[in-house]
Amino acid sequence: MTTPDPWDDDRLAAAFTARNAGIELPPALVTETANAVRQRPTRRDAPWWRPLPIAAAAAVVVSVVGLSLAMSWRTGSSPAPTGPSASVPSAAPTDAETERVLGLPVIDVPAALAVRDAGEDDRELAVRGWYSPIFPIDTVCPAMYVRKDSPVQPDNCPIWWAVLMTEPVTEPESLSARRDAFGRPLVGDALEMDLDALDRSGLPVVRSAGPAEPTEIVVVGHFDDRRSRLCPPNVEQACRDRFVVDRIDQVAGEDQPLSQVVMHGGQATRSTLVDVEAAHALAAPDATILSVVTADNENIDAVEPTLVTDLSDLPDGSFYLPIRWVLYTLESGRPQTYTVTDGTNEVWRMDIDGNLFRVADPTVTPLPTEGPWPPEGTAFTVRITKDVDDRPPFEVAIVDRSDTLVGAREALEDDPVVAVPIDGTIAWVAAEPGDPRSIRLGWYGGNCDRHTIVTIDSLDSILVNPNVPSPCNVMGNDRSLILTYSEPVDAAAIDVSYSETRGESRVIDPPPTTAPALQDGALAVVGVDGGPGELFCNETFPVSGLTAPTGAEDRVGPEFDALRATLTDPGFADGAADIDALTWREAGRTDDIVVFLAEKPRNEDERYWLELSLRLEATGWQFIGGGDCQPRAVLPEGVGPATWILDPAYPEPTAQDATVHLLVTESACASGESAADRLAPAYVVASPYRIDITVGVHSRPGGGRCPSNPSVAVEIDLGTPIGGRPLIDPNAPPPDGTSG
Amino acid sequence: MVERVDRREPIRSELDRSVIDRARRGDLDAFEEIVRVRMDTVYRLSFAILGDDAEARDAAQETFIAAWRQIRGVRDPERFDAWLQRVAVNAARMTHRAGRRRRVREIASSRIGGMPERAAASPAEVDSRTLDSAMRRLPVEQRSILVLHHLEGRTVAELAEILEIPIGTAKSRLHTARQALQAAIDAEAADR
Repeated sequence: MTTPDPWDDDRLAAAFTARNAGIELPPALVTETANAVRQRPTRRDAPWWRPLPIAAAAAVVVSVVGLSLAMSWRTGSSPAPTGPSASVPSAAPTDAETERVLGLPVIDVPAALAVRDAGEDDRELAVRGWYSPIFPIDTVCPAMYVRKDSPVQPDNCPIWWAVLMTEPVTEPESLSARRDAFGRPLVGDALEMDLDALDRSGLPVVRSAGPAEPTEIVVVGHFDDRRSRLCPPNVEQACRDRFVVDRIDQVAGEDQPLSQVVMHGGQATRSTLVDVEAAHALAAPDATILSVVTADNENIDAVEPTLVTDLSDLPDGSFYLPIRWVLYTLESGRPQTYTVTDGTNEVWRMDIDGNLFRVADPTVTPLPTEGPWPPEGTAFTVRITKDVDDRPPFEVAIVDRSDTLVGAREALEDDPVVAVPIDGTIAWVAAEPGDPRSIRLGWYGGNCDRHTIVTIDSLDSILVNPNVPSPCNVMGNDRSLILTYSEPVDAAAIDVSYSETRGESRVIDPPPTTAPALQDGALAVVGVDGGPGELFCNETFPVSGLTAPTGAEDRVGPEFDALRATLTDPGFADGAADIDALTWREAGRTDDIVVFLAEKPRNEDERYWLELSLRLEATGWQFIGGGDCQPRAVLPEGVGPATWILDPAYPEPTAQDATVHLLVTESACASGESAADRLAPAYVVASPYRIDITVGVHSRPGGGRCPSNPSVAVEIDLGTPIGGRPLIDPNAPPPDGTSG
Repeated sequence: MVERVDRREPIRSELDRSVIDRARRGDLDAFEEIVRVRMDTVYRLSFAILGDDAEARDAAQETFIAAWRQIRGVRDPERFDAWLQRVAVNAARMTHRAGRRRRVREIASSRIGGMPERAAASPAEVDSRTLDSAMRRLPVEQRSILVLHHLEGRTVAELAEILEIPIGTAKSRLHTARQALQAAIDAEAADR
């Protein structure tokens, strides 16, 4: 092997130049780009969004765009209003004294119109009326959409109208009359609603065959939206007259869930709705959240144009702009918008001009990290506060598995400057000047996480786990930790690694090197109650996946969108008719694989696991496989299988027993040596209808002859009474592996 | 034989300030003039960062679409090129992120045909192959700063301006990226 030549700047520049020398500009690229720019004069014209859950309504509305733009049905000669239909019940009389929503008296449409026409008034109103989406009528569309400067600006060429009527008019389009090129005002006792920032999946959808059946609904919203001021002067009044709905409260008498609309692609939020609601509740206890939008910088102008960040204004260190949670709230009877920064959970209040003012420091916000904080085994918790490039403070939990760490703190201005070793890796260590027992630890990144776990495995091994993908951590340049050990430590010999996998350092234990598994005949167990260890069920996931929270089908994020789409996909559902009726757990994930599990009844007494896995492809999360599964232990590297039988020296276990006595036999050739000092902790995977016990043995160095191996008597505490469940040895060849 | 271009004097056609001003006011024809004049520069920068024809093409197009959206925010037309490079770097990053799951790397036939035979490769061309492989080991952020400095000839102060970071940070990042590249080059050599 030869020593690589050093590359100086001139050599590097020449290589760069040579590398680019053969590049030819694709001949059509200029023309194609110019055309692309012309087709996208503004982002407002074609916002990309995706209601959650994916609404059939959206698909239907989109599907009729072409029809609505060119349609000629029900033109200006549309029939006169038909009035209430005898077959449809009229709207319930509104009693402001007895019916309230979120403390607001519920009024009817004429009362709402009276508020609108009485002058500028943006108070929140709860309005009951009849809803039926309709196609626009006799619309003359210009060749290209006219630019929209405000999210509340009426479409000049709408694909459908959302009308709230006093009565269940069966042909609500008759309430409309022609207006100018910027839209048409409605006449009669009906108002036009702006539902753009809401999940409309609970509402009836527009149909090509005619108006949907009118449905009685209660909505909470307001006129004179602050964003009306962004509208062009000639349509500002039309903007003010739109009833901007912040919450669909009831549909046909059914209470509706909080609306969440996702306006970002591919990138999952780091905070959860629970995080955001809690952070907001601390910062604005008097405000009630009416609806939520999560948007990235590319799409946020669809709801809040003032929040678009010019990429030329990116702050230091940031190639990353966090998603914003936009919260539309009711506060003191009026609409009030808040935003929460994804990941840090900073809470910001918006003024009438769309400017933000921070009202809550992220230190008071809940944890973005899954699981308890600090994690189990934490020896020190260090708060990093050094002010560098406006990066927020955050916490580091230091898990010491070496029992050698005696101190940990943040390196501050008064500490000596260390020469940071630069080798292209993200995390680094350096010797601490003047203290042979201390080292300096740091890592690079951007700015969005709140918690990082550092695991000291031994004197020469450190794992940094920021729990979020790079570059989304906040240590960055000029921030570091000082770790002090009980004995001198060689910084150069420390292997520091960096893992983005959420929670990895709490899942993976260092493999045992000796035989701590067997003490006084009792075999240690992993896999009980979410302990460490991995299982395999078409894909690998941690044991804790079996007890992960259910409800994944209701969570927010592109992978969960894909889960919902898969569950309702007719092709998938054919094999499991009620698969979408199950509740699912996120059992495990890597950067590009997510494994979901659900328990499905086999009969009245038995349940079994269903597995469904998704992979992140260039086009987004895609279903890659699924079906019945029986999770099996993944034995650690260097551990081979062993089989077991119930120890005949003991009585057969009863249903009340939680302890079993086994005779374990190593499967591999071991030259007849006992495995007593090489047993690995056993995996116990208990389900409601079976208990799997998987036993492994640390492999002997070198090969071995194959006389029969002696058995080792062990005792295992299952952690749960056996009940009527069979005990199963997954390593045993069928059919002898089942006992009890 | 490939004609070398002095990295310190990148070929850039002059762009009349009035064209930029008109584009800032929403004149689409003026912006198209910018696309025509600057596409080559942006495409080459994108390719240098991404090392992939298809991704470079996407990134270049995204650069101008994004630039059109944001051009009203350009505060100093005299620094338009630095601003456009910043947009291009961000577009390259976004394009790479979107396309990094691609299993198959697309290579335009023109590129394949243009590759010299191994026996005829000059030292610089051998180095360019090594560099190409080494760059793929680096994150796009590090590739970007290396390209801006070593290919585009941007000084540390200019890097700071383009990336809108303090000069000290730019220096630190460049140093880090340079070290990472050397490590990647060494790894490439060791793999052979």
